[in-house]
Amino acid sequence: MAHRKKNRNVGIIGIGQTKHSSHREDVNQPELIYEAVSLALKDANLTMNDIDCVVHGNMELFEMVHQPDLWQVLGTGAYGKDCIRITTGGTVGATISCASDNLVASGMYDIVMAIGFEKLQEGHTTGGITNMADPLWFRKIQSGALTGSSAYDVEREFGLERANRASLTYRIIMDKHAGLNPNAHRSFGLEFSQIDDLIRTSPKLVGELKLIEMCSQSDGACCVIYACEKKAKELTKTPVWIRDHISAHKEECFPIFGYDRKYPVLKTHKFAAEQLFKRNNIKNPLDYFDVFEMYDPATWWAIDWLRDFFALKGDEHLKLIEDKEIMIGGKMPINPSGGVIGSNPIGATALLRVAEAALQVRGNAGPHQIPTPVNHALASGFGGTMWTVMTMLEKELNW
Amino acid sequence: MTTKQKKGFEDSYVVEGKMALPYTYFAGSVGSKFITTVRDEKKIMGVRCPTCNLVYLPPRQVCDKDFTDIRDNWVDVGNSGTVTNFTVVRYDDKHMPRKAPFVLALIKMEGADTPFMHILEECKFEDVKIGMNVEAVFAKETTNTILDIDHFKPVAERASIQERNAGRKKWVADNENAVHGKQKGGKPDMSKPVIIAAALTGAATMRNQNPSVPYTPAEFATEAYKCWKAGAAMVHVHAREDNGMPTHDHERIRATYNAIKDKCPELIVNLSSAVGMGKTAEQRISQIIAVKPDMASLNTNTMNFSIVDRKTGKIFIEYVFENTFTMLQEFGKAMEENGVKPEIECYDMGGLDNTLLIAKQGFFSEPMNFNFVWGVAGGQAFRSDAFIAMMNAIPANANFTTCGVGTDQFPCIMQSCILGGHMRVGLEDNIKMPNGALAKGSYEQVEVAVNIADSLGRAVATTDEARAIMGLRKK
Amino acid sequence: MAEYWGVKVEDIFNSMQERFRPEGAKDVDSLFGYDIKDEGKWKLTVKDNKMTIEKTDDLTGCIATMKADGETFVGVNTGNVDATNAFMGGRVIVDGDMGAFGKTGKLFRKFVIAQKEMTTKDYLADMFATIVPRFKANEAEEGLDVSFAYDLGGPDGGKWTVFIKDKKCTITTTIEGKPTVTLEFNDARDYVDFILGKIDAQSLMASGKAGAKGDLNMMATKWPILFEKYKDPMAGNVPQQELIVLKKIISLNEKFSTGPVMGKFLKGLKEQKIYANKCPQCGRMQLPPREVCADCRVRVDEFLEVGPKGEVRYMDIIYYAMPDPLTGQVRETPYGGINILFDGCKGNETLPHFIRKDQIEKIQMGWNEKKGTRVRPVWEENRIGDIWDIKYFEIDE
Repeated sequence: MAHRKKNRNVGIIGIGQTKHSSHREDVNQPELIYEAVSLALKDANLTMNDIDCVVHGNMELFEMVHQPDLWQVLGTGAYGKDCIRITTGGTVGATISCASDNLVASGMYDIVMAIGFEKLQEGHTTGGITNMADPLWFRKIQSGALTGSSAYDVEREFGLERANRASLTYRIIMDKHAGLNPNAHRSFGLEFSQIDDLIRTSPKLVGELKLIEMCSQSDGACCVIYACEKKAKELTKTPVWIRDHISAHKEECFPIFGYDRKYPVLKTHKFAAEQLFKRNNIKNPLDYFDVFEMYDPATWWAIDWLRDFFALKGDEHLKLIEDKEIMIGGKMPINPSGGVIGSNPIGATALLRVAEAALQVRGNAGPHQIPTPVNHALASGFGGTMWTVMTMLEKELNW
Repeated sequence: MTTKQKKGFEDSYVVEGKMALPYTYFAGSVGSKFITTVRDEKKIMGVRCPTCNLVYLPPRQVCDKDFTDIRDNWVDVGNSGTVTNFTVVRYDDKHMPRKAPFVLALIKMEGADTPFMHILEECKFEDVKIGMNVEAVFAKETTNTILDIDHFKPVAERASIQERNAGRKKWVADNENAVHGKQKGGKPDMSKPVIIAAALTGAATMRNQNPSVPYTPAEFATEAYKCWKAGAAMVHVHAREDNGMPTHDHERIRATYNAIKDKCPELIVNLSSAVGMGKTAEQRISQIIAVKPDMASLNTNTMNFSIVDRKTGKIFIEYVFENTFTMLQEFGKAMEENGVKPEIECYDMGGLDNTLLIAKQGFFSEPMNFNFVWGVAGGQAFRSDAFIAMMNAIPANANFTTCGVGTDQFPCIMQSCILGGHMRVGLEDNIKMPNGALAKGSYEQVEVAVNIADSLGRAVATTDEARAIMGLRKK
Repeated sequence: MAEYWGVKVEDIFNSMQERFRPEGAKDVDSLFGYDIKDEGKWKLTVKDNKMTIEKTDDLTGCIATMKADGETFVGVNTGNVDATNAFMGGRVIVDGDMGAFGKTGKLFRKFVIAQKEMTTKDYLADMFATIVPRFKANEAEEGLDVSFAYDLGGPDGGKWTVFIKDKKCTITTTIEGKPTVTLEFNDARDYVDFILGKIDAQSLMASGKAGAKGDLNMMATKWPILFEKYKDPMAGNVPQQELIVLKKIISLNEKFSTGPVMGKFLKGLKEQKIYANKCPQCGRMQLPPREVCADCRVRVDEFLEVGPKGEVRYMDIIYYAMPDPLTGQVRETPYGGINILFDGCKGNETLPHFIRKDQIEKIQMGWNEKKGTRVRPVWEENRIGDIWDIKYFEIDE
């Protein structure tokens, strides 16, 4: 990890997103994208003429449309412009953010627009995900993004009762956060008093993974505009600076989950977080960051991953949840937006983490703005069998 | 394995695979309207970008060139167009809409600026040519896709107006002396091309009477374009608001005028100086001075202009259409001073005589252009002998055209054509076809007028010829 | 009984017969219960493409029972409450066979709330009642003194006069004095249609259904300036646009080259052998074998036969019906996906496959030193070099 030399600083100057929802029959794909793009342009007070390059991405096979970058020009505004398509699975949104950062930092372009979108209702998400596996054998066996293995791990370590309650507590906190976010797809109005009922009644998907614990399937788009330091300072009073980002990828399918403590497996979240914090000289990330927008595809993963991201020991991660320290107003607010469990237009999801974290830094996220000042924000993306992208955002250019 | 394998690759082989995924496509509100209009109304609609003025087909929500939201600007692009390119598909695939071989053509619809792809059938491959005219054949059963237009087929080729005119013009040229010798004072002179004008709206024809009445500038442009393609050299326009009310608002009139000129620059546009009921003299003339059209109507007498039950004679609406001598004089002068040629509307012999009196002041430029209007409740009904009397009363070098309200329309234009005069049709005067069916637009009546000219062996005037005949300024 | 969005709970049940779609009832032969809080219980019987619904306290025999409060039940049926939200949020609970209950979704056409219609009388009352509020006093010029009278015939008709004087507007339900203009309609219904823009004045007059006395021109020019346009209170009830949604299964034929390494693994299956390969650097066994070890970035050449018996280290019970990527059709659930540690492998060197359906309950997962249930492959008779040459694994007793 010797690189990360930026030629110049990069700031986020415009953010736009659609209202995420399960069905958008009233718009086709470019029309959905157009909504987010026009909101981001409006937010940045720019027109399409100011954009030097468009970076566009979504999941492959999810809408069953070939060359979406081409026919979605009607919505992306890329007519006659440089346009780069990126698709890296669930991390795609985070990767287009990294790419946009790199394109501006390198000096290639002054202003770059990143667009992530998905209309999950148009394809078959799980069917699409099965196609990421080796067609010669694993595609025929695997079960999409659904697995109960994390639930099993947490249960085995902390007991079924505590594990289930932590999972549902996390779920209800996300539901409450989503209830504050006007763009969130699903907010059911859940109360902590419903935990026992939900554990009993929510249908099981795979193993202990219940329907209520899984992320939603959403239609939505997100657009973020990146500018070089000079332009960012000219164009806005509140740029959000990108301090650093990291990607950690891993081979497909091979031991994702460990079965034996004598043979530890590489956990990319842990690996990426350690690298990122070390090279930025952050000793205690839990103290340093004011908010974390985490890619949480299911509650079980979320609670398990908290330990990986923040290098927590024993049951510290469960305590954070049980003490509701991850709620807005708590010690480390996780996903004030409601997270992926609240809205999951997959190609946009990881970009939304960056966008929502940036909104928190800017201080105008809306009803889900956390009340204390946000100077340092963290965003993560997750995809593939175990891929991680992390982005660090700062209010001041002072690191 | 038939291919020779390299050492170390003996275990390699090829596995047949398959990928099958359920899939849904949401057409969105713009796409859905396009499909449902094709399906339910057998009508093909595009959208116009107000910024770059292009009409897109298929329609889209956003103009990709200037990123404008254009979703509400629907335009009927007509059901026929021209082939701008084509290919013969000669291989079969299950995803293809037809069994090979078949023709895929890029077709630019009449009212559209972008071509779109469809299947071309009912003609031999070797007869397919770029530039050929084709029309849509709608599917009998819907699939809720673009295939609700089943295919396109060639438009039955009919000699174009130009081709038909050429023969007549040659014959006239060859027999110049013979033709002129027979005619006294130049009338009736059928050797001149006949000018066909289309009055698109008037002030009173509403959509509930005929849904093809244009209201918006874009609709005026589309309708004017169709009339021009059918053979009209001129359109007569009363601009409307979006709700159909006649308007004297300069901006709206100018927008309507410009939309027509943008769509067909050479077409002569004649604006009304009557505008609609209850407008003041100032409202009526200031818009003409502001917009300066090629031509404008000039009304010649104060008269009843009422709505009356033609069966019982009962009066429904009493209205006096005010055109005093002073107005006739001031309007006429204002038009001439602004380079707008007056079309002198005569509702009876009195109006004609009023004009000849005022004309003694000498401000009318030559030639004068008269329009004999028949059938207004307050004016005179159409009579053949009255027509001849009026024709004989106008100055020798003046032109005349004619229009008639309702069932007077077709008889009066036919007589005018025989007498060497010109013809005006359009939904302003009559909403129907000769067989009583609703006209699909003024253009359908233009086609009737063209047929009349054809039957009588008269050439149809191009816009240039019409300008020369009527003494209009160059475009 | 309470009403929600103008609909009673029993309206939904009473309309079921009418909304029933026999084509949606194929293969359904069950009793379904509805338990609506404070409203009562209903039992739906579906059999032989027919249905009956009865209000009863006896829900025995129901394969599934839906529980909700009245507002949620009506809301879900009328589209005012998102069904998924209500279900996920616990406001709708289904006791019993969830999958079977899902089929009720196809049994009925959507419940449509009957639109309350406005009669001619309602409209006339509303139109004249709103005239004074719609008057724009600042548009009236000084000294303007006019009156517009309406004489509307027909059963709902009546007389009205609107006075404008001293920049004030008043209205009476008689015709008084000498109106500037009097509009006469034979039938008040035509007047309503005229104001709603469904028919124009000229057509009405031309057909003798309406006429005017006095200075109609004054009214035609002044009225649109002096009054705001009448807004149809029912205008919100415009039919929603039909949105086109196309559904299909996209199916493509593909060809994959196995390459020499995966080729060896798959061919091995044909011979009932399971091959792994061993990294010369870290010593891990790769299963299926790979050309390189991604951790060490070195070529892996050494193939070793493992298994075919082993122990289960992990099992997922899959309840969620997902499509088979080969056909697009959903698989029957539940089924068990297991990770098998073959004899000769260690740690995480497992291979995923399926367990025999009837043995899901008996499987123990291994963990650290703890051993999982021993399993063995069940081979296909006609093997072609495919992962499905192993039909599934079963407990090795």
